[in-house]
Amino acid sequence: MTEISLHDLRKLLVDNCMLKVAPEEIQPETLLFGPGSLGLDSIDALQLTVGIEKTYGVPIKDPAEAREALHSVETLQKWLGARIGSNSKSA
Amino acid sequence: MARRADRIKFEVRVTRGFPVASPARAPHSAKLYRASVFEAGEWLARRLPLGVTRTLAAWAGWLYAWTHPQRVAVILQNLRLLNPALDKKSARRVYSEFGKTLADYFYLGTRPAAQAAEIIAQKDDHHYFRQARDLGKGALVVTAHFGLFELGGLALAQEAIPAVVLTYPEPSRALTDWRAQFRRRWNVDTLEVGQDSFAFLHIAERLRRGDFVACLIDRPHPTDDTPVFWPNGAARFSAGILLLAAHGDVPVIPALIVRQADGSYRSHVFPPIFVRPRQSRAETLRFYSQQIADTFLPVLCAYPEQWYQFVPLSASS
Repeated sequence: MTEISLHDLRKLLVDNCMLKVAPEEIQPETLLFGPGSLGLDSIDALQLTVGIEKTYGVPIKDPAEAREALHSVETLQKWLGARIGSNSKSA
Repeated sequence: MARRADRIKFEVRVTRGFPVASPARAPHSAKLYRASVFEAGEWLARRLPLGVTRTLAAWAGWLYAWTHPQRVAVILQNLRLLNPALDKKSARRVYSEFGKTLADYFYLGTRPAAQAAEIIAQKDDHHYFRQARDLGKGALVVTAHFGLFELGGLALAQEAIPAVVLTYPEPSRALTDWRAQFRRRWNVDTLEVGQDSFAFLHIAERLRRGDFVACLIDRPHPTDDTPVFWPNGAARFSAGILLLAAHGDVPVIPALIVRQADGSYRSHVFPPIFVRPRQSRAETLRFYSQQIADTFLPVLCAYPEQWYQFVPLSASS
């Protein structure tokens, strides 16, 4: 499992989404979509998945998987770590 | 009513920017916009000559316009974006023309696809469709609430191009199913989005398969419109899906279908646009939305009475 830092995830979000909060307010438990979240929308979701693929080479094609992975910063961190880890093993 | 308004608001929030066929969000009368009414329309279309249903529907539209002046005012506000000289008479005419379009819609739905397709008497520049099909990447077909836009799917199917229409959920499941079934008769799929921020992944999958995805772009959005400038003001487009085309390097093909004086239809297909990222995503959306708006403008100005945009589109509204 590869460790993705909170700093990297903040940068990913800042670069790809229209954030209404300062990056330092983004914490592992921060939700990405829905009530009480960063308030990302469908365009942010699109940009974020493209950003993830560009930055980490990990595509997201399944909406159910996307919903799970992009639930919060922490779930994204875990999901990305696992995916990058499995990709590097298979390579 | 409040519950429906909440639902509409929710759909808008979660699908910011993606333009789809969304009758659920238009200010339709709840009494008229339901499956049983559509079934009745189809029933009549099977039994009465088209000329009769067109006349009846035009009359009904005219009556509706005279009894709903506030709706007419909205139409007029939209029309004046195109041409400040247009008046209430033009706005009321939109409703009678819409009636005729509905009559055609029901009539064509009761005919075999090949027979229905004959109503498109003039096909301008369909080679753009064929060229895009040969690229094998799929395409995004952007159109407006104009003419009988559902015929676009049939036109694609007739070119052996797999077509899918994006739609929001209708006010009822029955109506969603009815309309999807209607499109299936023409070999046109329906992809329902609207409840899911990740619906674009379904759209991306269809594009990867080489499908042509059709959507409506001339619609407002309460929080994230893309303004486009027309001769007499700014209109609001919902253009987020253009980013999907950019990421997939998929051609965007503007197209319109207009009813001519003899009752037949003419399709206008315009050169494909390849969306390239600009300085920012907002600027990308603005630039390409304007390009599409400019493409549509001459046809909309020539046939303003067939622009069936019933919600306020002006950026100042």
